[in-house]
Amino acid sequence: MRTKKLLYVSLLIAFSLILSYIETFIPAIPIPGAKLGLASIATLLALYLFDFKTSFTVVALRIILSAFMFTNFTALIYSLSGGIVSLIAMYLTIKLAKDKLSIIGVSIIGAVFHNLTQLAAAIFVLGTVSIVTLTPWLLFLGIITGIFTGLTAKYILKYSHIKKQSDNFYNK
Amino acid sequence: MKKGDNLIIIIVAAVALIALGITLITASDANNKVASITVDQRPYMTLPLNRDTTVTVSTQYGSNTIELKDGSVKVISADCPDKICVHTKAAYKVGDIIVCLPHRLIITIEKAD
Repeated sequence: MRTKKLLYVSLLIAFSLILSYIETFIPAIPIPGAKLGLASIATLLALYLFDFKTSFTVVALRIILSAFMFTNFTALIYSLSGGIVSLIAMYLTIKLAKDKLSIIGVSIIGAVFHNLTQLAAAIFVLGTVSIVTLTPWLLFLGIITGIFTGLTAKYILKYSHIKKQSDNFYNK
Repeated sequence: MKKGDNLIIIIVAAVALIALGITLITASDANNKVASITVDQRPYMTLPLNRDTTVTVSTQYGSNTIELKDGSVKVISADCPDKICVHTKAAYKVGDIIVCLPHRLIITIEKAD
């Protein structure tokens, strides 16, 4: 049944690529490092349906492919760092506090860590700490975009009838 | 939504408010302010805020047109793909900042010395 997993993972990557593309049409939030983060809906789905390794594949392929197709390589270093750190943060949050938090809380954690990592990457690339004054705005925006993506992922999981894929599911 | 979600929102909002407070306190309202422009980590130009002018910063990364008017700085046009710098609101307090990541351009408001 490995084919079924391959199918789901390919669909998630395609889904997140389309979301990244749609996001390029939405007027930018006038704060560097902040994004609506539509593609993180796919990351959340991957984390809730599969394991960490599979989610990592989805995130890394989405970012590298979208850098080739829609943006450029300067954007790659920002999105790659932001995407991976937020994935790790969301994975750990699920591991440690799954009973206390819903997917919305996990999504907020992911958005906040994404924004802060992008800020850190910008400090590193631009070689100045002066942009650290943007931190409060990036945190507020993380809450809002996190709630938005979390709600979307919640309703996709609720109505799409895809069940959590257990390990023996693809070893059958 | 579970209870923990609200807790996360409250914690993040509280940290954001504290951070905002710190940036507001440190940004003292000095009368003599300058807009310091750096490109790729190197100082490019420093302009006093009390003089209205328009400058165009053209580098190997691209060009941004910066307007100084009534004590505030704004990027009025740029040939970068995202136009985040153009949409950023005018900077006027010490510590205010306008960033154009694709052009590695940073405009910071600093105290003149």
